[in-house]
Amino acid sequence: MSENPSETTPPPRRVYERPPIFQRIATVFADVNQDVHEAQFEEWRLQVETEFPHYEPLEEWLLNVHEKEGIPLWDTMQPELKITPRFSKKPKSENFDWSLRCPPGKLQINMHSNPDNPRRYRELESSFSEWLPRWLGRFEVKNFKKVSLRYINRLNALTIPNFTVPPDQLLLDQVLNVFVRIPGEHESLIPPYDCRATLLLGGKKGATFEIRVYSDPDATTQPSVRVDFVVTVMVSPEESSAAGILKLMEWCHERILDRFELVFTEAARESFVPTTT
Amino acid sequence: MIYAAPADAPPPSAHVSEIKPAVPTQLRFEQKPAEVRRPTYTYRKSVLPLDGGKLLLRLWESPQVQVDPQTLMCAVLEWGVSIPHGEIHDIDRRMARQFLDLFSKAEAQRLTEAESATWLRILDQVDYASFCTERAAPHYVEGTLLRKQPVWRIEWHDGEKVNIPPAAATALRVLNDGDRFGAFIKLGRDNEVKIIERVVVLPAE
Repeated sequence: MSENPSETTPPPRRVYERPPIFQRIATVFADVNQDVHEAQFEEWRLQVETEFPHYEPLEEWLLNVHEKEGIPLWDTMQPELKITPRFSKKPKSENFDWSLRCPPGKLQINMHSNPDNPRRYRELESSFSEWLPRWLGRFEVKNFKKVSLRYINRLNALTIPNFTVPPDQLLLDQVLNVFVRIPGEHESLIPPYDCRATLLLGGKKGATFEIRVYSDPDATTQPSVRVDFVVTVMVSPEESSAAGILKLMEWCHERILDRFELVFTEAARESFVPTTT
Repeated sequence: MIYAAPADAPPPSAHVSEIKPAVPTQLRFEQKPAEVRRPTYTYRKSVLPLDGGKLLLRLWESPQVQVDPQTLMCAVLEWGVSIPHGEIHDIDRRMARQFLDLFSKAEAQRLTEAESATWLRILDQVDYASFCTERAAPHYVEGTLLRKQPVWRIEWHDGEKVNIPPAAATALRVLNDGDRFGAFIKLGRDNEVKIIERVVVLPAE
């Protein structure tokens, strides 16, 4: 099963006043020399902190587990401690707002939003187009690898109040067109709930679309379900520039808009308050 | 399809107060506590920045971080550095500080016996020769600019002839081919000229 977006007629774009989008994340991956990264990081930090004043690195303790015929096995490789530099406009205790992450070889900007402050992709694009050239220059980036755009949607009483049965039920099949119709007789879906699929898009080198629908135990409002859309595309030599990366990001954005219209039901999209603009 | 909260939600907290503590029928005293397993994690790092990144300390191998699950203290093995779990993001700075602290004490011959042992173990982990070369202050030398094209070539006062990387050679752009000069230079790894500064023109011999 494949679909080439360039061969299909794009559906009319609608803008929503209250989409369930919780975060938009733009990321570019590239080869960066470790020495250059370490030598330049302190000056980069000074530069970034003018706009993202809170520095709270992300600490991850990673255990490598792989699966063999359905059995989880410990990887013989050593578990890892990973520390990712993370700057934000508000501290973690205040839910971050915007944040910028920059481990060696990666620039990522996260834009947070909520139904009352939905924000627009153009704001993320504007910030990314501002920081990308600075990052390229500071870390002498030459070889780009891939670009990715992620949309995180959160479904709960705050974002889909019309599809909620208090105190603890979401009418998910009235909101989503995927991963909700399970054959057989049962009362409801309950946690753990985790479905994902990856699609090869075509139209761009190595372009994939990943969709994941899963339980969201971290949300303050429960029950809550997350719906992630991730478009990833490889960077060709002709696109290996700041302008090329931004064009690829725009392409990723268009693919997410395509799927947003298809994954959410008509009734759900109506509840997101479409506008004519 | 309905998505609902889990069926096995915990009971209301009022029930908790009704639980009565059980009295053990037998108490046993273990002389030797059970050995606590301390998981060890690899921290993938090949370079530690010093002097705000102007100087890089190269590591031969990635540091190993061992976690004590009882105290939640993280020990960087062989480095003599202990960090509370919640401050592990500060690991680069603490390792760099430990290195500089012991380096300074070693230079001043003030290492205790324990510090001396730690310092020796750290020296096994880092490229100390490269660190010393990169850390050395610029020193004064004299030489002659032989030519600028196709590569910058210099003859030092002792007769040795070397090519100069373009980035370092910019300070010599003002000279003519054949000019004698004096300058402060800084060497990098493999004795390659890294920085040339404070150039003066010397009279021809």
